[in-house]
Amino acid sequence: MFKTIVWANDGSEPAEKALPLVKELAKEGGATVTIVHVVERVEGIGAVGVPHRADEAQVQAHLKQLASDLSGEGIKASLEIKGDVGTRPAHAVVDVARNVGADLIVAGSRGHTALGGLVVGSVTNRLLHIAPCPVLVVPPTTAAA
Amino acid sequence: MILIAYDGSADAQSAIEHAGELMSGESATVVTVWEPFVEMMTRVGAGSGLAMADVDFEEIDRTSEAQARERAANGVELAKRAGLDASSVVRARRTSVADAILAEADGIGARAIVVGTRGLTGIRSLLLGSVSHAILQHADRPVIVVPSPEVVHARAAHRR
Repeated sequence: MFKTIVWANDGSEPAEKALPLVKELAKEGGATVTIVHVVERVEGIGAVGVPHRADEAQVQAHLKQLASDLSGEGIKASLEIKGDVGTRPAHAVVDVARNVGADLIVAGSRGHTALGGLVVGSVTNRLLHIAPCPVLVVPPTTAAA
Repeated sequence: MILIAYDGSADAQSAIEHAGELMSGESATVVTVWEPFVEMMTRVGAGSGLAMADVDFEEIDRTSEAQARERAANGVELAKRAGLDASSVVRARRTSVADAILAEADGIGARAIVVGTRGLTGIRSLLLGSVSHAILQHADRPVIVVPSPEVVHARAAHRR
């Protein structure tokens, strides 16, 4: 099973949907889990370098808690926060994946459309095109396990 | 149980091998989809100049299905060699190849669907195939997109 899992997590609900599966896979394979959070910052003139999201501090605190909760369950988990990558979050995730030698990247999709299909978010979509290893995309609702 | 979408392409072969390595011991169904002749004609907008009366649809479909069975059997061989507890299933295309694969995933209650990136080589191998893309858009279960070693190599060379 997977030994080195990178979990792209922006603290959003779609990303969090992966939690049960990440736990399951990590326990099955005794894998290390690196949670990667990319701080997207405003580019251009004025307010440059300011995080896009007003709740950035809460998101980071939440992810730290998440990493320590996973550790509490006996999973080797850590958090990497990438803050200097401008508008290329998928590339930052891939850099971490290469550095840790990931054999799986876990990413969320982006909620359902009115017609019931998934909308794969732009970061996840980019990941699918540049990842050096398999990418597991978790749907917002799971039919069966 | 995982469902592996397999079209016999080199990329799909690599995806099976890679998946087996990573998920060794897992039980897997290898699904290969074939296209009924009438659907193919509808899709390509044909009928043009073909003396349809002379065409034995059933014979063509039997051949297509037999070829799909052969491909699926090859996929199972690869999967077994890679360490998966694999069996094969062959399905006729529905409204799309992706739909047939998703229906199969529902049927077996697959834990995840494994797809390759695409069957082409060269620069286009960096892109995601339309079937994989459609599966991702419509799946209500986890989808694992597995790049072949060739694709990984190409990506490393083309990065950024």
